[in-house]
Amino acid sequence: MKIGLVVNPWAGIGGPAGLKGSDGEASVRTALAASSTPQVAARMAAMFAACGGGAHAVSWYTADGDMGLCALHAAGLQASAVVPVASPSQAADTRRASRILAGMGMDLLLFAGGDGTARDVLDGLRDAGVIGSLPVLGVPAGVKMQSAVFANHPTAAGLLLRQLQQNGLAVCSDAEVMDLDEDALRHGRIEPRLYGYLQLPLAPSLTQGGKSRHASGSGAQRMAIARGFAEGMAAHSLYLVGPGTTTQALLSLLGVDGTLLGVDAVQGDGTLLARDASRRELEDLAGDWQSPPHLVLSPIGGQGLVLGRGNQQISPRLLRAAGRRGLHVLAPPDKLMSLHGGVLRIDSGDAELDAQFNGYLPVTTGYREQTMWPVSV
Amino acid sequence: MNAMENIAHHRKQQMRRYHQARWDEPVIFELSQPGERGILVPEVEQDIVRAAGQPLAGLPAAMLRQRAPALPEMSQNRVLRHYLRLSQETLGADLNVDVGQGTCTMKYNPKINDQLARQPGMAELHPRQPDSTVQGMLEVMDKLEGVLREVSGMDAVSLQARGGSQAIFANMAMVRAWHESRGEADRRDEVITTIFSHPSDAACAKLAGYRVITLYPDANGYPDLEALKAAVSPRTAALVITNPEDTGIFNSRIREFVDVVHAAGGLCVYDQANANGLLGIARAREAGFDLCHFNLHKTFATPHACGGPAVGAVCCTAALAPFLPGPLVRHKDGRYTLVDGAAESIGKISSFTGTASIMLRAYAWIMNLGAEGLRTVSEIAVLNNNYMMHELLKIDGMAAPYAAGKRRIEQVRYSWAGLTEATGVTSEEIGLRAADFGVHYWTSHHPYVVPEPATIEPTESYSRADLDEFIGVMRHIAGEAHSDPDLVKTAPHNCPVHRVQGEMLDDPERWSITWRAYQRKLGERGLA
Repeated sequence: MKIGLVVNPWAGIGGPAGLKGSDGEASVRTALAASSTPQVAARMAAMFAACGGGAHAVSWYTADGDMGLCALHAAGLQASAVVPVASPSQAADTRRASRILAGMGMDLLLFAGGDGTARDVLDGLRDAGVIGSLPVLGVPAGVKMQSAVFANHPTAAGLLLRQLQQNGLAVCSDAEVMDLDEDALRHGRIEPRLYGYLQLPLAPSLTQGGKSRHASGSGAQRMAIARGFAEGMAAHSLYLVGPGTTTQALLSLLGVDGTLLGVDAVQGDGTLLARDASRRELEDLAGDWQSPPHLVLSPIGGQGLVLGRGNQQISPRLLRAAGRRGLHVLAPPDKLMSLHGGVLRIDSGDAELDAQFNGYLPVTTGYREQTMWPVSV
Repeated sequence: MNAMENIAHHRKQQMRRYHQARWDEPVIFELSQPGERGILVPEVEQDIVRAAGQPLAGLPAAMLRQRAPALPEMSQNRVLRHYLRLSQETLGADLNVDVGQGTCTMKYNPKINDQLARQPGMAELHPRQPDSTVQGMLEVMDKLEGVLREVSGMDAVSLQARGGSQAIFANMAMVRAWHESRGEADRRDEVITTIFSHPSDAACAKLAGYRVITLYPDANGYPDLEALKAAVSPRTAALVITNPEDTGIFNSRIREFVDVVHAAGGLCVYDQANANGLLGIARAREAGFDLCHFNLHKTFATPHACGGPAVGAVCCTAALAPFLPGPLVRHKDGRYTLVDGAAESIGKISSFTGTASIMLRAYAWIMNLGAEGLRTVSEIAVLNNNYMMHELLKIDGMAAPYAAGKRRIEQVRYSWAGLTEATGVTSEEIGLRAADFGVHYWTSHHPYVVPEPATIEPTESYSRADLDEFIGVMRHIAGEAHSDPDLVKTAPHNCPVHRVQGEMLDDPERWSITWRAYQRKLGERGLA
């Protein structure tokens, strides 16, 4: 098995200094001045410890110095090839190393860092043209990990790696990469948006063995969810379809050329009314429609946020207009089960309105399959 | 300690030094030698040919085979060797302490019941025989129905389904027929079930055309009553639920669940797959259910037979009885007859009646035990299970999630999450290592709601010494996980096949469940 390793040596450094991230040279300087020590080495060590002997059976490809090679050497491992990097490294180096490693034909790209690192890895894979085919796994080492591409903790990443090494690559699932504007965050504003998707390998224990097997998170499953939902759509109603691969499957089924990362407005008969619409456009459309709008949303993996991350175009006003009957959540079962805290959350910006959704919401999990899932604001 | 005690004590301390057999036995078709025969039938003598004429001459030409069937050609002793070898390569219910396949554990099937079923008078029965020639078998069916009415509290029974899932499907079809009779079938298109219920419940509901709403457990592991209240609506056709669920936790509020669904106009269907701890103790009727079913192989000690032929008994209240699948047994004036279902019946769920030999075995087992004996079966099954849980929970890293401090009914869904966190050894790897000691072990259905799950169900069939052996294997492997985790992670070591590539079973392009399909797929790959 060939694994590429990219480590962001500065990941997490801004956390202890209360910087809400470590983006930018200025942040790193401030953090170093406040004597924050990078934690990434300890996290990589924990990951390799959990991986055990499995790590020795892997052919490792990495970037020079503290962008990967140091972590391998610390774990007693050798690299088959090394991408040269100037020291100190920059965000651009993560992107470049990811692109070069991807071009060398990896089975998996392992990276350590936070949301910013995930974004750079995504850019690198996009440059290499392997964004939908090369699985990626994040070792959590950053300040913010809103993205769903990270293992729960470094040990979990090591265990998963060992299972993949022993049993081969399992089924992959689309995982969201979030883009949070750190400058805005430092000024108290949470304005994340969905940056894109990477392929995350699912633990074989979640997907294999036993009596029932289903390729969870697969295209077929998303299409089953989409078909199940489409059956119940009313031809003359207005549907505001949020970002995500599951909702995208619904658009493809309807034959609509929508957006993966934006909110699209469609009529129940499959007519596209607005593509990648703004909050204003959506409110205008809904205001003119004779019946209340339907919101078709998919939660962000890990965080469980149905509204408020990546789909802020959908305003409290639209949520109020849709109401409980008009709020439709689509998600595969394993996505629901992997939510931290086990509940769905709604953060529309109007806390009083959000609280009205506390309780149970039906989530479409397959063709003619639903589950009642708790919502807790 | 005397000498015998010393030997016994010593044996108890030792792990069984098991090694699975490997014969590298080919598929039987590959063993075929042209012309080889089990019996050489002598040529027919001329006198007989003259007297009998050509017996096939009267058959229409279109019905005669053009080619001989492509069966393997083998001598008797090679056939016998072949199947004995295959039998040695399995871990069957009669070979190991088979408590590790919780939810599907096979209790002991008494061999005397096999002998009864193999009597010529039974083995040669034909479903098209006139009723007057099968009065004995019909009487057995009638009396077995009587027992099942008593055990469930229901008013009517059909023994037509050939297995548990077919019985659940029959129940779903009856739910639809009931709503149709009231003109509500179009409106009521949803069936509610729980994630820890028998997975066939959701599958059969869907096969019957329903949308399925699955409820996850509350924080204590019980079916979530609040989630149910949120799920019921005028669209609710039925609730289909197992109790105890696969966690072994008995839902003592089941009556409230039933009442919520009834209030919304839905029916309630009790999947009795986990009935082994409830015989003579709790009944579907008292909990308010309209329908239920039993798997005779799970509860009444008949062979499972690798997915059939078996019998799934459908039981229902008088209100649902007109919808039962037929043929049904009727008893009048000392005569037994088979009659079709009523005018509103869902029709046939399989051809003919249920499997006669299975019904006879179940009836014999029940009559040997009697009413008191059935209750004792459940009491011992529950006692065995709770003894086992008590001992297994002493193992570091083993837990029984939910309902802390509560006893379980007939099985437990355990979690090794603590052990996995401490050692990296997963439940699946524990199962592979268990095979090194000659015991079978199963994790859980998917998705894994309980992390690193193990489902163990001892039934009443196993002695304390048997249970101690299984517990000993678990304790030993947990110890290895701490002292030598790689030994467990690379298991099995005493089995001839290391690990099966599971993904083959997921790939329609590569799986082959018949010899012909295997040949065709090899051919498609240029490997034939």
